[in-house]
Amino acid sequence: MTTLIVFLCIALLLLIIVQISRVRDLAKQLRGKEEVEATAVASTGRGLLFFMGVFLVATTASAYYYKNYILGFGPQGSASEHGSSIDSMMKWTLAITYIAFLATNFALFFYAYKYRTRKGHQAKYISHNNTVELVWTGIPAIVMTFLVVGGLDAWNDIMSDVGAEDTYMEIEATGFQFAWQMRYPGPDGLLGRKDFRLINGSNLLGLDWTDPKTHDDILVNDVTLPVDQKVRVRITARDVLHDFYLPQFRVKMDAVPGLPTYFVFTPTKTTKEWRKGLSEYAEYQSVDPEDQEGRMLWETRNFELACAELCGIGHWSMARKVDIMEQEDFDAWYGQQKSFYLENIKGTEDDPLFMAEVKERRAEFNQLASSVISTPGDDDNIINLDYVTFETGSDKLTAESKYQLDDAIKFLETNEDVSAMLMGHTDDTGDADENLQLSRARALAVQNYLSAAGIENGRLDSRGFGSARPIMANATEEGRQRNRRTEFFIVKGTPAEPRFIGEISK
Amino acid sequence: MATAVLTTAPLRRDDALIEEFGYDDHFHEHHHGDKYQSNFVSHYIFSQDHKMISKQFLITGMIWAIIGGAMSLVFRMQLGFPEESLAWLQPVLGKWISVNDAGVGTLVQDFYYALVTMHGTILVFFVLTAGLSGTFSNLLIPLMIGARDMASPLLNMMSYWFFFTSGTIMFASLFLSTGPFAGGWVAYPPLSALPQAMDGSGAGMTLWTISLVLFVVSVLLGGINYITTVLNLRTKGMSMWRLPLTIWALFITAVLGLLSFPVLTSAFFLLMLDRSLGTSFYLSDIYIGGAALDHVGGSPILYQHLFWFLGHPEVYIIILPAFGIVSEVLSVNSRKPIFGYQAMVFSILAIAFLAFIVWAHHMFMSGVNPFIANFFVIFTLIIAVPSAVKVFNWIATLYGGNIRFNPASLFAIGFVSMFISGGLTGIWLGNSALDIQLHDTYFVVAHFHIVMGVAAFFGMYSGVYHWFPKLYGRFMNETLGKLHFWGTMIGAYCVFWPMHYLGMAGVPRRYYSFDAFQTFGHFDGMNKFITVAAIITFGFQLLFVINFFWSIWRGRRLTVRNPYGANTLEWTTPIDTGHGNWPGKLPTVQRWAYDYSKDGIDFIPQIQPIMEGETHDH
Repeated sequence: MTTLIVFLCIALLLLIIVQISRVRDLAKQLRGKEEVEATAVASTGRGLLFFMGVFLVATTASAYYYKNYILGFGPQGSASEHGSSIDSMMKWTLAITYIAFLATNFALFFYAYKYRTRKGHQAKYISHNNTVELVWTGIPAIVMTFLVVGGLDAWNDIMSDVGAEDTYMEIEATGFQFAWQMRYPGPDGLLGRKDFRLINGSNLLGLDWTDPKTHDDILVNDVTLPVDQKVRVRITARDVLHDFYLPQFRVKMDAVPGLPTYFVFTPTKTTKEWRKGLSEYAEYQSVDPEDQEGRMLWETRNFELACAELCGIGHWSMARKVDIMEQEDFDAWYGQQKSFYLENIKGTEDDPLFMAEVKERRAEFNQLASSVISTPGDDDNIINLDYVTFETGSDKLTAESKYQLDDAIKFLETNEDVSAMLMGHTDDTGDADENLQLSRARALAVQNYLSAAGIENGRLDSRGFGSARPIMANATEEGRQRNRRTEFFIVKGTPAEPRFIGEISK
Repeated sequence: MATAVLTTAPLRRDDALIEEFGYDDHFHEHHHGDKYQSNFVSHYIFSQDHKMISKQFLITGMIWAIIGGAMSLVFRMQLGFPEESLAWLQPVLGKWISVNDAGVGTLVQDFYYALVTMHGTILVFFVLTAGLSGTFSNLLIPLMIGARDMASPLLNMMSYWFFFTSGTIMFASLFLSTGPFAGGWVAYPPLSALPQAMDGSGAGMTLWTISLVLFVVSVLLGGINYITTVLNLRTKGMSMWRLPLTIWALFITAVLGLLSFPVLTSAFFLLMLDRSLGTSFYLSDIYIGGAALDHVGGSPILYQHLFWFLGHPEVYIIILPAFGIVSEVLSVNSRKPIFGYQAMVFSILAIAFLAFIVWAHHMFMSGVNPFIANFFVIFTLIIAVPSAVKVFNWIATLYGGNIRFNPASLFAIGFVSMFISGGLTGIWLGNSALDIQLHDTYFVVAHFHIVMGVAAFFGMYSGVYHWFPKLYGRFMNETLGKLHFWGTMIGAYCVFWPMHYLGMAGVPRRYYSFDAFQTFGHFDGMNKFITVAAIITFGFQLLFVINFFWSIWRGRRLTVRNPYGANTLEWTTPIDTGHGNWPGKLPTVQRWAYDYSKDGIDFIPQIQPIMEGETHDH
């Protein structure tokens, strides 16, 4: 219904307009063509002049009204070292183009008004004027030369890469649909190698963990930087084009898959200093409607990182905070950050170094196991399961234990005539009884793990010895660690106890 | 300048002049019965007559302009009024409007980007390339140079029908379940190459590329025809230096298109290969949709080079016809010769030449070696010089004139204002240092909309109002036309001027919402203002459409051949211009096109031989 009414209103309006215009045609016939046309020329001429006035005043006034939001003006002066040269270039360009804008628009509308057709008025025949044309070719050429030289001087300075003698920090920003991931180099100051083929759920950037330089690399979402220190941002993309855009720092550079780009800049304002600057302007002195603590706008403003190259439907949402700190605050913050590798990768299946080690251990285990089982005599058929460990004070197997246990399972599966006795040991700290219980529980846990994997119960057994059979002195930490162990005693036939067990039982 | 007193009556009837000085090509002996226009189909549909093809281009362009313009209103409503419900659009847009439990409808993100992309593609290619250059090249080249028709009427007809097919395919892509292409009109890979990257990059992109390749065929068929016609079919006496500026502009436009569009096609072919055959021209090191792709060694920047090698000349392909139209309209309506005719021609040539060596100024921030910016900044800012010369010459044409205000001349004046405002911001963007801040912000949107969007539209309107009597034998309504002018002039500035401020504040273009950022969120009021202004301005364009169609059948009839007192040849044809344009001999040209107010005579047509005692200064 509403749609219908709106539609009818529009139709009616159009009808009225069409009728008015027809009436004017009729008026021409009634009042005499010339008179009507003279009135029309006069009113259109005044209209053009009026339009020019309103237009030039409105554009100037609105620019003044918005100036405190515009980068380079009011509180929005550049927060980076190179940015001030862009700001000054922009002001020069603004001044020059604004003068040209005013002058040419004025001349255009004023002459259109002044030389409107009137009775008895005649146009002048002016086909060209070489002097005038030379002047107005020359002036723009000179002005352009000035702008080109100024602009390129600034550009080449801004875009030059870091030199060998520069001290700088290199960080990396990677864009993907639809977020940014920042990487810091960690204590070694170097960003490790990466390869897009290595990307997976636990390795968003495809860092190559075989490169030790990656081991201290820090992954964070937001950008945090010290003030007054040169930073080189290495800019990369994972899927499509993105653009690393820091409006307040006059930084912008596309992130291109397969082609790392960079931008070198030096922040010159901390977030605190910038906010203080904002606080002096009325635009930022009202309460932030989105802040639950009721702070002022200037208190809640942050520098921001955005994407400035269309990258898909979430292009508009790739926001990250940028925090600029004093050097000591930054050092404190940086010191707290944890290496991604050490926290999340080391010792897991995602760690290629660890997996290589597991492979080596397996070879070693298999070799040892085959050799002991094939040599006559049972007493030295004990293999120390060095890599089977437990949570402290508990019989719960650690995640890393599975690799050697799987080796043991594999061995038992291929050698079906072999049986195994699992033997738990502790060091001599703590209560002896508890130690004995714990060692039994731990040996049993291993036995259960093996049987759960399908090894027949008849081929397995377990014993616990507490601290009764140390292999080193318990005086040192190293010794105690060696004594806390699980042993894998293998024989052909049914599970047996090594001969010494009889001695202990006595 | 001595004013000669002419003793003989200066002006004779056109027919008499043509009969006496014309060139007899025996046209009337060969074309009895007008075999090209004998039935409905060959007259109105598969017409080979340049005037009918011109009308076909114009009306098709208008339909596309309405579709493309309406699309911009939908996404402007999302930007200006994100909290208002768009549920009422659901009957038209269906699933592209998602309605939540509370009944509030919002534009789906995918479709927002599809609309932005389609708006750009449609306006740049279908409206401002085909609709503008297609219309006026077809209408004016044969009429103004004194030719019977185009060099190849058949190619000319095919040019239109390739355009039509191209448009049909693009239109069909709007109805795909995954939506039309949505990766921006520039279609940068990898976004455009990988269906995993967004829905529109699937079937939508396939249709988009097919459509545009057909479009390129249309442009090339048209262009080669325009060039051949201008070079070979000029009537006797019509030397290149006597060509009206409109023809110069349309001629150079065709040359630009012929040299640059094939490069775009090659860019598209490589993109198609990457999309369908697994090549890696543009793709390398990509992990998307949970998988690392096999592509290595390609460069997305290669595509950008190829694209902008067309893309930059393309903006001159759009604006040069408007230059030409405005020069003609201003001169006729000021009753003065165009100021500095030769300088105007050399400016067009300079701009056209420079157009080919500035493309990388679109790519300062795209990862190309910063060093190359040195060349591209220099050449880009040099363009300001011929552009400034043109502006000064247009203003100088008004100076000392006896200016008639009609919709055509008003739009021509408006064009100059738009070209100034939009051109000056080009000086900002062409400067790579400033581009660091302004690249891909609303400043760019403001710049190109004013300088090549609105300005080119103004040129087109100026031309349509001016030559409507030539197309349909009637005038468009002048009052409606003036209303249309004022609404568009004020409206367009209200829409695009504030965008400069958005851009200078750093707000990026192609954002679905500004809520994710503090920095970009200060402008809710301005965004509402822009949206309202856009809706109103669009309403004024409908006024033009109504005026146009109403005037075809009901407009004031043309009763004289030369209603404006113009010098050019198109006004020497009969009011109802038939096939072949001139019923008898072809007119021959005796002078340049701009003898207005010379020696006290209001106008001296090009067919008028030099008279005794006439001043020679050109």
